[in-house]
Amino acid sequence: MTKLKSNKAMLAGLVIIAFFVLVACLADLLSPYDPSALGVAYQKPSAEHLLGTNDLGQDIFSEMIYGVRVSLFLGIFSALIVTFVGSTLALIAGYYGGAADRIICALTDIAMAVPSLPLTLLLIAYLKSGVFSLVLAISITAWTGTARILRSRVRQICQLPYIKIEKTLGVKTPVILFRHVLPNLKDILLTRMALSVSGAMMTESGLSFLGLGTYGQKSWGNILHFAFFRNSILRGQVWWYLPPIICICVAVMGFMLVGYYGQQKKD
Amino acid sequence: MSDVILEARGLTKRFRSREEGRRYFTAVDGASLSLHPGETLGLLGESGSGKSTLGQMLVGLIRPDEGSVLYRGETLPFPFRGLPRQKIQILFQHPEVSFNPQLTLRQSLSEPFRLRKQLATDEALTACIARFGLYPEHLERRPSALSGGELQRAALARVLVMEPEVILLDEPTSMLDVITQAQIVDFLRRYQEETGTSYIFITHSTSLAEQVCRRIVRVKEGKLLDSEKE
Amino acid sequence: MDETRQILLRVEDLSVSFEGKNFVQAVEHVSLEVFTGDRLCIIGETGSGKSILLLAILRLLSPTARVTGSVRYRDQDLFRLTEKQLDAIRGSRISYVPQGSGNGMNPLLRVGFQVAEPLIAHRGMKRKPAEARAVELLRRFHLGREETIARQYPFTYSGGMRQRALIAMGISAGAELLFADEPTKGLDETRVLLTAEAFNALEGQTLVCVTHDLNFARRVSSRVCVMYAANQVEAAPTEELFRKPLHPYTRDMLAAMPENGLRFRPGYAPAHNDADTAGCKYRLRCDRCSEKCRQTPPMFDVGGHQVRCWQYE
Repeated sequence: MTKLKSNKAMLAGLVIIAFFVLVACLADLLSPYDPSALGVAYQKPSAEHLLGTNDLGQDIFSEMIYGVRVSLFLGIFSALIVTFVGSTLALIAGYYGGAADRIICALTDIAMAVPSLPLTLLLIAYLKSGVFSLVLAISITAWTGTARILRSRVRQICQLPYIKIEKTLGVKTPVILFRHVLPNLKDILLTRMALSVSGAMMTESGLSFLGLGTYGQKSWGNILHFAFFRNSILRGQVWWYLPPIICICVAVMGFMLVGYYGQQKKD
Repeated sequence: MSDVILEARGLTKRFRSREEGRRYFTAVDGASLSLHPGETLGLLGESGSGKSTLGQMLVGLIRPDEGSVLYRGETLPFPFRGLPRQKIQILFQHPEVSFNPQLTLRQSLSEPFRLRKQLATDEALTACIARFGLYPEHLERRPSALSGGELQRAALARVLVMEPEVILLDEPTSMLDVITQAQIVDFLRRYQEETGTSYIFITHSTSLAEQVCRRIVRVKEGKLLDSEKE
Repeated sequence: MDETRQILLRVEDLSVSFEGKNFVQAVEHVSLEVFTGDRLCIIGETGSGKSILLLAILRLLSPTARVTGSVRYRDQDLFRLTEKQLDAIRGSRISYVPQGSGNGMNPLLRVGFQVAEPLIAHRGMKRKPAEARAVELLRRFHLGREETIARQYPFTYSGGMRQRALIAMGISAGAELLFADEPTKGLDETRVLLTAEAFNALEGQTLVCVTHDLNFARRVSSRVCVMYAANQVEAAPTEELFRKPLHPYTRDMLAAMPENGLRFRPGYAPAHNDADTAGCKYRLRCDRCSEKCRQTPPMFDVGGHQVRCWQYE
């Protein structure tokens, strides 16, 4: 029963992700207008403009479609960095133990204790605005969870006889790490990765909403930012502020479903 | 000293203590022993006596706090490298976790061949498992599809590819039924007669140690009780 | 046979199989009778189906297992009870000590409380006296410094201590029928002896214990049932079985004990899904195998000593 249920949930997550990835790839074909082309402002939804236009007369539907690209790219790219940094530290700490382990654990604790939002804001203030600064700012504190969870798992695995046997056979450390330890982490890596994507997407939309996002590049958070600061709620322009909210929620949920249920697909 | 293949001099290991009041407890306390070619030395002790920790120091898995391990009269650095690394091997108590669960038996068994720069051909692999009553079809299975007895035999086959001179057997049969135990012991005995390999046999069973070992050293609370006088 | 003894558990023609990608016949037509006060040990090698048999009796197998036959506990058919009725029996009248010391305990509760819990739940005791009784139980298993360790959490215990604490948990509520699965696995000789003593000190409790440790079985049990490749091959009073084993497999097993010189016959148990399983399962390794062994032998009774081998026809 639970097996089926988790499989379905994971499948749903995969379908959601696949949908957004497809939209991102085919953005040029799908969007009816150039999202930065100006036109008549504040139009209501119509056959021409499915979700109306914004304060500059840009087609919101096209904005949304192009927004997938930025949001998804930011999310996945930061998650890759987070997972890479986290798992590298975890492998070093868990495999070598001793001083390396203590240093990395202390580092993780410190990074966890730092309030992440102010740090992120600070970084963005100093760095040049752009997609890569945003990725850096998002990743700077997000790796801690991954590092901590993976480290204890690596430690457990390294205590197992088969790793000890590899060592006595004289297998080189990188081979042990990448052939014998890492593959046994793949479930948990997948989970952490998916959750990191959703976390990064949330942070991105939050930052963009505050106006600290990627100027010039349209992300969902960005659309939301302009919707709010042009008083779309007071004006009752549901078609402007609701789509980005829904899209963020659905995409985040897609990754979370894969993250939570992906690991249960076995046994 | 040429008739001593592996020697321990004053091996000591302390661990952080979980109990309150004590910061460290000494798992192994100044253990010295020597192993001669072609003999089976028994380390007999209860669980928690430190015999496994001592064993893992002897094969270079745990760095001793004090003392040293000597292979043919030469002190080995930690971790072991080169020839000594190849010649000193270990077999563990729990066969079900002695293999990487992601790999098939073929992949796991190919590894020691690769380490010795040999080709893991079908004939080589089949020959290597055949004397343990395993068949080519076992090669394609993952550890979860093999029984404990089959896995332990495969683990032994894998270690023997290295042509070791010393094998540390850490309770190799305590999880197996008596017949499989007798089979493995018999195999080890015949292999020793054939090749002159030395064994260190760690066990808690007096009757088994008496059957298997020529010389028995008792381990209690980290100390070797009847260490031989030299 | 003693007149006052009643049948507590009757297992009839129990078979368990797992369908799926590869079909596995785990238990084949096993019948057992357990009288009050009996101490039955089921022995056999890993994969012989002894643990599955135990789980099947208690209805603890996953739904993918196909179980046939019947199990009667006193006058109740365990296979016909609802989950709720069964839960009322399990724990209070029948208790089960699972295999492995790793996952039988809640890591977040103190051991003393966990041992006391069945007393509180099933015997309606107050917490204080129940925990005092728990300490007493732990003492019976020689855990050492019982008052202190009862207040500690399972992770501070070694594997052997956890194993014995689990048994203490199993017997604390005074269930009349105790099932134990490999209670000595991974324990060293001294601790096996302590566990055996603790079992022997049980009063008024009936024990069904699965083990691969022959010495332990000899120490603890009054009757032994031997399983080989999903089949029950022999059942007899313990001393008789050890002194005069009838089935070739039992004989070979006893000969292979270190005390008896580690003698053995070559060959391995057949795979669960071996096509060539008709007839006696041991026939390919047996030295007294004849043409007749191609047919499956029934259980023969040789003066209270049951054996599944054509020699005793």
